[in-house]
Amino acid sequence: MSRASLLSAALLLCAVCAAADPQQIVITGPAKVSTNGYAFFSVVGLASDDLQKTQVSCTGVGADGKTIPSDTTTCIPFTGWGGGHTLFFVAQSSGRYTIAITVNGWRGSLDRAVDDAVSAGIDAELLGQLQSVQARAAQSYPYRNGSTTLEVVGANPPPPPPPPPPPPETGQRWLILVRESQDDSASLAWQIMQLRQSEYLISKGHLFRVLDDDLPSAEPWLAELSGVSGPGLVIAERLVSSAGQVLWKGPIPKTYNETIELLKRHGG
Amino acid sequence: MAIDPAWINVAPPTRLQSCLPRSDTLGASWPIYEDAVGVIPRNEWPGLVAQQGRTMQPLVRKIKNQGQEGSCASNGCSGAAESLYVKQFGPENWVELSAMSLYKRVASSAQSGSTINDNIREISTRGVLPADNTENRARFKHVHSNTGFAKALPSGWEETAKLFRVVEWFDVRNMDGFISAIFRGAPVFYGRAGHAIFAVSVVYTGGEWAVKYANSWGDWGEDGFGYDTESFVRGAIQSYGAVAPRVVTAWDPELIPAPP
Repeated sequence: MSRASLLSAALLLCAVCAAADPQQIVITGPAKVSTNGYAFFSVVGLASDDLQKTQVSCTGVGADGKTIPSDTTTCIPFTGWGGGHTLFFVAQSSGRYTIAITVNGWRGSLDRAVDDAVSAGIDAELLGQLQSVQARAAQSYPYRNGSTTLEVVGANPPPPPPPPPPPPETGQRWLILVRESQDDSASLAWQIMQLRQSEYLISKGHLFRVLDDDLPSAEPWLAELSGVSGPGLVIAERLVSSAGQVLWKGPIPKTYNETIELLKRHGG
Repeated sequence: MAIDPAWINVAPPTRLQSCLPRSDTLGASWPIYEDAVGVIPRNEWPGLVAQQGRTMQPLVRKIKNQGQEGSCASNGCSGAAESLYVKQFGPENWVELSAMSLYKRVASSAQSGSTINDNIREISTRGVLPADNTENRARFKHVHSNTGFAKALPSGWEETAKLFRVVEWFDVRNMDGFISAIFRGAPVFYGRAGHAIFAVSVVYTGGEWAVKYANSWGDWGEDGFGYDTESFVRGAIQSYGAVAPRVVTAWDPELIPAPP
């Protein structure tokens, strides 16, 4: 932007300044609304063409003091049939919300022009003149704005489901069975023998251990299986001389084939 | 496959009749299987036997050979322990055990024989040594041969023997408990006709229930295995004893990986 055009723009903006309406914006509406319930607010103080130069923000704070994610709130101003302005609001999470409207209009244009000039690195004298105009404008013509608050009450939506875990990399695995050997059933004994002789386990380099829960050396794995009743199975990464990440733990499947399928689903 | 009758209900020659009658009472040292666990009804046995491969025979990595000594009970005891080690920790961690390292502590001479309960007491408390072979010599501080009563145990043997202990057993009262224990994956170490062995699977032959056992006579029978029918074993269970071992200690902490 040339020096002459910058000055022209500033002078033009100052001419608009004289005609600007200093009226503030008043937002009125319900003080309380339920989660996912619609609310409409009346907005007074906006000119007919102000919507295109208006910034609207809706920020919420939950009971835990944390800022509510903005993508759970919708806040849209619009012009009604009679020409008045209305704001539509809906929120998924409970908390205290502040709705703020700011009309920046020509002041916004002036501020952006000064920012552009700073970025462009224009000469200091002209930049100083522009900033002086900017300061005078800010003093005489503050942004028009208004705000209100409301409470959103009710149950919060369930948290989004965690992202599915990445598919495990294939590799060698530990299969560790911990159980009270006194409770071994014939079917479990049969599965233990099948796993012990499994060509599949051998060919893949998986190792299988059968531990009684009374063995002191089984205690860490018993703790890993706390909450699992009956014979418990852990599938873990097999590192060089130890176990890596636990990939699955729970009651051992009823049959050898089911156990092998489970192992395959966990990279084994 | 038909079973050769020559290997059914074989009593040992007199010189090898060296399993002595039990010197304790049923349930004196270990829980009675039938009371603690219960038995599988006989009408379920045919279905369990019908499943091919329902046998613990693959856990037996090597048939023992007691030679001309009366160490059958120590061989049966250490053989059953070996099979449990394979079951718990895998064939890659099989360790051949020295029956003589046990027999020397429970017998008075090469031919005196020993009781099942004395062998269990020793292997539960002080353990058993690995057999003297190249692999074990490289891995363990103390080893001992499988035969040779005259040979002394190595000095400080207790240090290594305590790594190999069978710490939980059941005392079996009758044939229903005996068969049930095998179906549930426990080898049964027992005596009959002056001889001790350990059973690894159940069969039905000649109209009678029978067990397949691992003997300690080296190259004998069906690849070292023989069969005892119910009628042959029934009366012996309480006189000699039948026990089901179920837990062995880990001889190396690294057999069980630590959780992350």
